[in-house]
Amino acid sequence: MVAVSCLTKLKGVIYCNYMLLRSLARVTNFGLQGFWRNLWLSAVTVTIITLSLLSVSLLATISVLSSAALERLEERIDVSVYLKPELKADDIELARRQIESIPGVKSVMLISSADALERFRAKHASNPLISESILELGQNPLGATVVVKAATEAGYQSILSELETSRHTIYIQEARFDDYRKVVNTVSDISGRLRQIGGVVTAVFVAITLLVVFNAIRINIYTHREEIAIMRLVGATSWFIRGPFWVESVLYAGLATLVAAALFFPLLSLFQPYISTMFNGYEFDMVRYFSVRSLPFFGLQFVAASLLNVVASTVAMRRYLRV
Amino acid sequence: MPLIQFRNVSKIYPKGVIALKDASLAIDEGEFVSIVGQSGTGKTTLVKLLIAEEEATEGRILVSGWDITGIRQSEVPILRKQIGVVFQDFKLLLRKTVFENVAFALEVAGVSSEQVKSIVPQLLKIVGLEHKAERFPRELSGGEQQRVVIARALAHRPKILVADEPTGNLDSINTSEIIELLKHINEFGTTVLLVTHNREVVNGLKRRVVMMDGGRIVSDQAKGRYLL
Repeated sequence: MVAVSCLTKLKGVIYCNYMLLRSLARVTNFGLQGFWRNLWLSAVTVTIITLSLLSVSLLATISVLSSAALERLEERIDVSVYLKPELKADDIELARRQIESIPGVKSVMLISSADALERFRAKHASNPLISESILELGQNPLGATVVVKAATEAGYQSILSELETSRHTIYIQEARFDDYRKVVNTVSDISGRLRQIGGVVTAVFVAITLLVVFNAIRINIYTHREEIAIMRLVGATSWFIRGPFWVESVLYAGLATLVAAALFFPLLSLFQPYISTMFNGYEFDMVRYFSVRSLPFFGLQFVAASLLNVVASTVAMRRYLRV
Repeated sequence: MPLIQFRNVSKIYPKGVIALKDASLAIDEGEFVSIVGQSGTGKTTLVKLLIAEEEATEGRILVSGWDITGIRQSEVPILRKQIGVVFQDFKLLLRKTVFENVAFALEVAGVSSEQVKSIVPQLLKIVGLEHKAERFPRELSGGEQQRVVIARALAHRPKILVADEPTGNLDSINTSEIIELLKHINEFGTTVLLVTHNREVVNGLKRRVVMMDGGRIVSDQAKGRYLL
């Protein structure tokens, strides 16, 4: 008796699962059918989502570019500490070690007085007056220089303050600290503002994108309102009515992501020469940067677009489901 | 016990618009009842209440003993599988073929594809459209479209078939064909509720006539005529 009951239950479970699978297959089929038979509307919706995704990709590109540009700019910043010319080699080495031990210093590079003179000559090669003046002096007027790089952009402030203390001023001849401060502060300000503006622009753009996609899906559902009413009339459950539209929504997102990805890389290749010019002297390949990250980059866009479409469909349908 | 019962049912819309007032009606299984009256007398409201498209303000509605007055949204699909509905404006899925339109009613109920393939041709044969299964609705005449709707309404073998002005958009030849089809369906045991203001149709039927006026049932005759 118990065995028969269990068998009946098992049959029931198997039948229920079979029914569920059948319904899922039908919902998918109706979704695909709806997409295909409403090709123009589907094409318009996919185009809108594609444009939105391309806009998001463009924003991401600008963000990556500005971050990379700032990074390169920050790399160029250093503090040159000019040592007194009368210092002996041992004193110079000691000064170098002391500067190196300042907290926040990433690296130091020592330029000997001879190298400093050579660089000075090269820099002013076009000015015969300066060259003649050096010759007249008969000796090297320049001392050694220690070029300091900070671990972080913010670290320059504390390094500069430390160099101003009496512990270091005894061996430093000249250091136009204020000039460096200005450069560092300007870069820091630009960097901060760029990030803030970028954040606001991205937020506004994403909000516009959300509204555009949301409305595109709403229009799509509106054109299907009769169909939804008929589905209710013949006894379709709410999820059976929603299902095909969800399938369509995910399909829109998938196709739009593929098209956006297909357009994004050629566009990026087109702009790569200009980007290379902008990063003069540095290797920065945007196509490679996004190729390496293409799966998470476009995967995330697909997931976000799908979720947005499904939510938009659900909200838009709610009105027509009260039939 | 009657198949359909309206017990003192009223439907009052916001701003006090009375669509139906204290309507009581009992319809037995297998009956063919015509609900008649001028436009705006509450006929369609009666239908909407029966298929739970609207909720009664007062009174109770029972279908096969099931009180559907406060029916939950999740139960509506169950009710609608028991009541086939035919409207004046056809309500066909224009992007689906005749076969798919009829099959759709079965598919939403989880009927297997094999059964769908077997049942739909039978239904199309009943309405005389077996040779137009692959056509789209826009390729059919008004009468043919209405026959597709009737076939779809019969898909779940409903106990009740409600036809709300089914001949409103049809010429006299198509009208008589549709009425003959409804009579034929009734002969097989399905209770038919015909809502119409077509005097000739009602008088030609010689069946029960419920007359409505101003949201009230003003007469109910077993073999009535449409006199107003």
